[in-house]
Amino acid sequence: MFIKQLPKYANVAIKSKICLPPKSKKDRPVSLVLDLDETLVHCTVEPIENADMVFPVEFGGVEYQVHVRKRPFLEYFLEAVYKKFEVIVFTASQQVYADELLNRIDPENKYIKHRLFRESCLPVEGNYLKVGASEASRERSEPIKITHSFAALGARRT
Amino acid sequence: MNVLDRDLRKTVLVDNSPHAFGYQVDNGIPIESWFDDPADTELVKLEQFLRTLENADDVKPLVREQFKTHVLINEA
Repeated sequence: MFIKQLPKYANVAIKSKICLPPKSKKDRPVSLVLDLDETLVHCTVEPIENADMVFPVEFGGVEYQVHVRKRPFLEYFLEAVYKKFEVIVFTASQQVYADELLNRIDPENKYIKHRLFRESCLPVEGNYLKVGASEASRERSEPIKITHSFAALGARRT
Repeated sequence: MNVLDRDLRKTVLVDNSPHAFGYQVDNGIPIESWFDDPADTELVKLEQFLRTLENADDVKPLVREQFKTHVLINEA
């Protein structure tokens, strides 16, 4: 129902801006834009069993311990897709958390070409929109990607 | 203006959110939310489907046929 009731694009698109550099000729032709939380990993600030990693993040003057589980086959997946696609991670989470996480998932910057964070998203009716498409594209319509805003700092249900 | 600046015929979004694909459902690949199931194989299945998109002229018809998200929206 949320998608059906979205406001007209023109009414929400006023503040968005391009956050990615243009594609280069050596990039793969198709771009694969991946969400992070609950798609590739599960993170929480509460201790969890079988965490694959734990790291500190400071937010608002408070240090949190982020506990991360990696989705099964994450490494297999990234290894397979980075050769075939321009891989972009686009998350509604805060950059301070997502950068630390991605630095650990992809320490050599091998798999993920670009990172986009909450700051790139448009807040619309309590959700964060991720607007994707080229103005120069021949397509007239433009896509919007929306994820819940509660992904910040992994402060969510465990 | 927008943030991605990519050709929609050559862009797919993967997201577990039911809201994820907003105005462009045919660019959106839904994936089940994951929390802790150690037997989850969704990333393997996703990778297999993505192979069909690598050289596509336009990803949208392929995504539309596979996931039929537009049908779900019309029924909502």
